[in-house]
Amino acid sequence: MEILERNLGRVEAPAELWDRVNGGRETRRRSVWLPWALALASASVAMAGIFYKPALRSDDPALVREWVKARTGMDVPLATQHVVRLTGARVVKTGRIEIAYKSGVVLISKADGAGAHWGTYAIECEKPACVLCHS
Amino acid sequence: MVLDGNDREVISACQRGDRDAFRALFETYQDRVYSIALRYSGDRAQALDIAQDVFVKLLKNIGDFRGESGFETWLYRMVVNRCLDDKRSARRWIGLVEGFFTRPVEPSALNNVLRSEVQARVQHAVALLPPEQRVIVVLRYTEGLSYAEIAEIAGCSEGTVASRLNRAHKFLERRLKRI
Repeated sequence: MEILERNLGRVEAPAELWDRVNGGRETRRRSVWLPWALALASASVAMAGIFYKPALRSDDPALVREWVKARTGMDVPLATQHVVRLTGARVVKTGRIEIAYKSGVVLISKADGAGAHWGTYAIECEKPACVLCHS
Repeated sequence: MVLDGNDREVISACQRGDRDAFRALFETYQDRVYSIALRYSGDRAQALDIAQDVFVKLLKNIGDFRGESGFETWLYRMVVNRCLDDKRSARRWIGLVEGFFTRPVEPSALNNVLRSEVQARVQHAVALLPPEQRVIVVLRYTEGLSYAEIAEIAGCSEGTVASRLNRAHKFLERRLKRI
């Protein structure tokens, strides 16, 4: 095909090519899967937030405190007046619970490990806000 | 230092780590490698990446060249493999779309403008071919290689080269019939 012969001819390589080759490094090829993996991870996080179901659904601090104490032996005082609304709690595994608020969860474990202890429980969260209310 | 085809002396010097010899080899083949990469990818930045990788790999692996096939065939095979290995289709498409809408315009002459436009359309049509057909079209029309040479580089029979080229021609004729 004449049109291909006329338009697909050889071209001159840019001068910068030698500098790049002289650098001696191959270009870093991005994985095709990386964007998909990131999208999937983001979707999983979003879905986890949407479908998070506490074992106990309640906004009553006294009820949640009693429920946690009965199942784990941890006495976690929960403030009766909070800026963030309490929504419930659940036992993640033996000796580890999550207190759920509308904005997120606070992970609490029995006070036999390392870290700051408050009576029978310790906070595993690193957020200052969690420590502030659960100390 | 002038390299003439399969100049064993220069290649041997490269194999001994002679940087000047490698520079001579680079000077001789840079336009061919870059042209194949550009015509295959349709994107300047991607073509530069491909050409860079090919020469870096060439420098690293030139000791493996035993002269069983011609040096050019060996090098072309490296370029073709790198082209086919390129999975950054998104970037290629972005490049094509950009190229299509921002065609280089030379105000000096209408002929130049028209030529650029036709070239962009041809490049765009070629980019729509499946990689195995595209690479054969590029070797045929950019490098002017014979079916036998293309078959040796692509690692397939001459019959396969002919049938892929035939399918590519039919597709391109349909796409470019209005030009």
